[in-house]
This record gives sequence, C-alpha cells and structure tokens, in this order.
Amino acid sequence: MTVNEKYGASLLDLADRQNLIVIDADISRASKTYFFKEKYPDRFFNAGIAEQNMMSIASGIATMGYIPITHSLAKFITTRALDQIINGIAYPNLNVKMVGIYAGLSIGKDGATHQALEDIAVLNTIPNMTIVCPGSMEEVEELLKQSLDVNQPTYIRLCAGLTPKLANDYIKFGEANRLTTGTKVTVISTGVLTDFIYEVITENNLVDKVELIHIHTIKPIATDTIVTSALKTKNVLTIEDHNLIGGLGSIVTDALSKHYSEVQIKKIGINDVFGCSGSVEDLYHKYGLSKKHILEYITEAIKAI
Amino acid sequence: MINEKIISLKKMANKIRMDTFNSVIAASSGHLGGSLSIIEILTVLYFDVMDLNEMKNEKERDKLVLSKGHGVPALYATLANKGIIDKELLNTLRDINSPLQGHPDCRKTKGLDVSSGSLGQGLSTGLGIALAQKLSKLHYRTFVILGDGEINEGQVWEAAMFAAHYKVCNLIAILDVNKLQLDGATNKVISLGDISRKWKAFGWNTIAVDGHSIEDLCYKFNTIPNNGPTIIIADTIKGKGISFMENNVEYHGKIPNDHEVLIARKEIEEEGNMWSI
Repeated sequence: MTVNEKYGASLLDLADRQNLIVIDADISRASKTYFFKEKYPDRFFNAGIAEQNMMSIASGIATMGYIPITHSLAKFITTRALDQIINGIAYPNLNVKMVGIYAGLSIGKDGATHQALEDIAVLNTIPNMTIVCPGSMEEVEELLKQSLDVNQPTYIRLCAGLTPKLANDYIKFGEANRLTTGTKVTVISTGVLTDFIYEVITENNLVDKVELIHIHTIKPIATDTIVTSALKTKNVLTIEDHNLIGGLGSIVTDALSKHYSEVQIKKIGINDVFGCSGSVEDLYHKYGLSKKHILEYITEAIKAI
Repeated sequence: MINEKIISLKKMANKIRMDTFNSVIAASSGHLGGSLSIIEILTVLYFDVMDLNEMKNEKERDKLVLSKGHGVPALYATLANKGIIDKELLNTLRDINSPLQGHPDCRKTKGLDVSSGSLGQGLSTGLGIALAQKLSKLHYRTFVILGDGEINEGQVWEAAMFAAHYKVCNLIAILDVNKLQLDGATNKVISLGDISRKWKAFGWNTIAVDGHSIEDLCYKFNTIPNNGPTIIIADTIKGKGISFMENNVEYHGKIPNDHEVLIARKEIEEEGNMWSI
C-alpha cells in the first residue's frame, strides 16, 4: 500500500462525518481522493488545475461550518495558492485542511519544479496555521482524523515512502514522539526521514546514545519536549528533507532560543539549493540525506560533545 | 413610473453616499472612487433584494461577498443604515482597534460574511458559500460584487469556469464596471475587451444594468434566470455623485482637500433634497 492509498482509505473511513467536503485539483487519481468521490460524489468537487480557485472555494465552504479538505502536490497547494491561504483562510481562521502530497525530495524524478522544499518555512510564518507532517502510514490516518477537530487551518504534508508504523505509536496532535531515549545527542526529524534515521540508529547500535524525537506536528511545535531533551543531551542535531532555511531545524532552533549557551545545535537539510530529477535514493545521496551521511552526522555529533 | 419604494431607496442611497463620504474623510484614508460607484448596487441589494430577515438563523440569510474589498466604506455605511452595525462606528474607519478595518474583516465587523481585500478571490469564495447552500439545503442566495479592474486576476476566470461547469445557479455576481483602476482607464491598463461576450463565452448568463439607476437595478435583480450562473454587468461611474471625482482616476485613493469636501457635501445634499420633497 502506498502512502496515498493509505491516505485515500483514511479519508474514506471518515466519510460518515457529513460536514467533510473533499476538493481536488485534478490529482484525485494520485491523491486517491477518488475513493471518496466514487462513494460520495455529492461531497466531492474537482476544481481542475486551478489551485487558487480551489483554496478560495474551500474558504467559502468553511464559512458555512463545513470542513473542506483540499488536495494538490505539496508544492502547488502551498506556494501556488499562498495568498489564498494567507488572506482567505488563515486571516479569518477557517477550518480548512490542505493536503499536499509528494512533499520534499520524496517526489523524486519530477525534479525541482515539483519538489516542495520551502513549504514548511512559508506556512510556519502564517498566524493561525497548523502544520503536520506524518512519519508513518498510521500517523497519516491518525493525524488526518485529529486535525479535523483542530478548529484552525491545517497543512498536512505527505511524503512518499512512509513506513507503516513507527517504533512508538503514541500519536497526539501537538505532541512530539520519542523513538529512542539515548543520552549523547538529541536527533530531531519529521516526515519520511524519521524511520530512516531510526533504522540508522538501530542498525549501528546507537540506541543508548541517541534520543530520537519525531516531530509530526511542526506547528504548534512541542517546545517542552525539545527543550527537556536538549537540556539532557546538551547536543541537538536536526535532519530534514526541506530547505535548511526556515525548516524544522530553524523552528527547533527558535524553540531553543533561551538555551543557546547550554546546547550545541547542528542542522542538516537541503542547503538552500533547488533539487533536481533522480530517484529518491539518488537524490538523498546527492543532497546528503543517505543512511551513510546520516550515520556520519550522528557519529560526529556524538564525538563533538 | 416612480413609486414610493423607488423614492425611499433613492433617499437611502443618498444617505449611504453621504455616510460613506464622511467616514472616508474622517479616516483621511480609503478608496472613495470605487466606494461611490457601488452605492446604488448595495442599496438595492440590502434594502430590496437580499433576504436579511433577523428572525432567521444567521446561516439562512442571504450572503454578500465584497470581492472588491477596497469599496468597503460603502458597505460599512450600508450596514450602519440597515442597523446591523452602530452608525457611530463609521467615524472610526481605519482607526487603530476599530472593527472597521481598511478592508473587510468578517471576524471584526458584524454583518460581513467573509474577509476580502486581496483581489480576485471573492468569486471563488462566493462559489464555496453557494456550494454549501446546495449541500445544506438552507435557503439563501450568495451575491458577489467584483470590480472591473479586479477581473484582470486570473483566478476570477478559474471561478467562472468552475461555476459554469457545476451549473451554480444560486450565486449572482455583480460586476462594477466603473472603467477605471488605480493606474488609469481599465482598457488602457489591460484591455477587458467585450466583457459581456467574455462572460457569455465562459457559460454565464449576463444582464446589463445601469448601476446607478435604482429602478433598473430593482427590475434587473428580478430577472435572474436559474439555469446557471449569472453576472449582472453594471455600468457605473467611479466617484459617482461628486462632480470633480466622477470619472477622475486621481480619486481612486486620494482624499479631497477641505474646500473640495465642502463642495462634495453640498452636492450630495442637493441630490438628497431632490428626493425629500
């Protein structure tokens, strides 16, 4: 089962909530919202290749108490329709859900034009906005469900290639998820990279050394968990499939701003460059996110203390 | 034939024009030209066409999206004369902590159905409200006021295609064709061409109206077909009602000086006197 199939099935499972309206921008065969469309055609609208119109329609629907869930590629739902999100949805604080598929480099071969590497940074600056980035199929289902009750706009950032389940299955919107509880370094990640990093840690017997914190809710971020762990290890490493500027690393750094003198922080991510075409594996290698790279970052961080 | 209803609406439009003017003067800021061109449209909508019965559930009342959000001083004055907001508030337009923001904020001002201000989005928002009507089976209609300069925005045409595709009949757009935008004549900035033919080609019903004729507006709002989306194309004058502002692009956002204010108030008063006999 792919992530999008899991998403489409999760959406369908929620269909008995009569106030859900599904809108897609001509990607229903990719986002799998057509599962919903086939069963509930009256509550499905295809806006065509017109993301801006889709987002503003959603804002109008939301004013009447419905919960519209909009869909496009992560790249296009965020930046193509950004003004519609800011002025039309976030400013009046409407309960609109925005699902962006194939976030980050996880879209692979389509290349830079389709790789959302700035979506977290951009949306994080918008008041009233909430952002989730699931790290497993299970989180896709659970966070979709939980976000419906967050009476604010929510961006759901879906990466391709998610594992079915993380090592720790405690999932609560707004809270972080601790996967290992080592003492030498706090590694913080989100989305598809969390399980990848977890594998590096377990395959290399680093469980006692690394405290791996998975951030599925990027906004509001679980500041307390981050600060507690950072003060324990004094050593923080963030790793993300997103631009280093304004992404998870920056947000974590902000959360630790009162503790700069006590904590060493290192950020890993896409170093302010555009992506390119290639398989996800090749891209992760090229941009320094392969397992080999990640092991190096963690080993260096442990040594540095 | 001018009947009592028409005379009373003309008086109301005159009051709203004066209140609009005074609020912008009090603020020393705001878009007078594009507010004055929609006074009669708003008057007829709020005092004749729209069902705003307070006895009704708020969700069941007719909705208005002022997509050309910069025209909001006219809407505030209309809401004040309708008794929906306090008339005293008009003097606080654009002040710090005033609920009357420079552009409509539905979270701050009673009676506003949506927030707007960034041009080109209101038709889509109105579509969303209209789709919600169909789903909920509540009885209301949605009206959207667009500016002619505003339809430069591509999203308007995305919405136009969507509305025709889904045969949305419970949404009525009104296009304020005052023929001027900030940088000059609309056809000099970006030619709009034959506006009516464009909307027809997108699958809309079009109805032409004199946007300052209460009689014509009242009549045309009663001739809306229900076989698809309809746009009422209103021929209007930017700065209508104040001689030196009419058709003068300078007054898109410029505030008149003290002498001009006296002239303007006198002209609006004189117009009002015609209907007070």
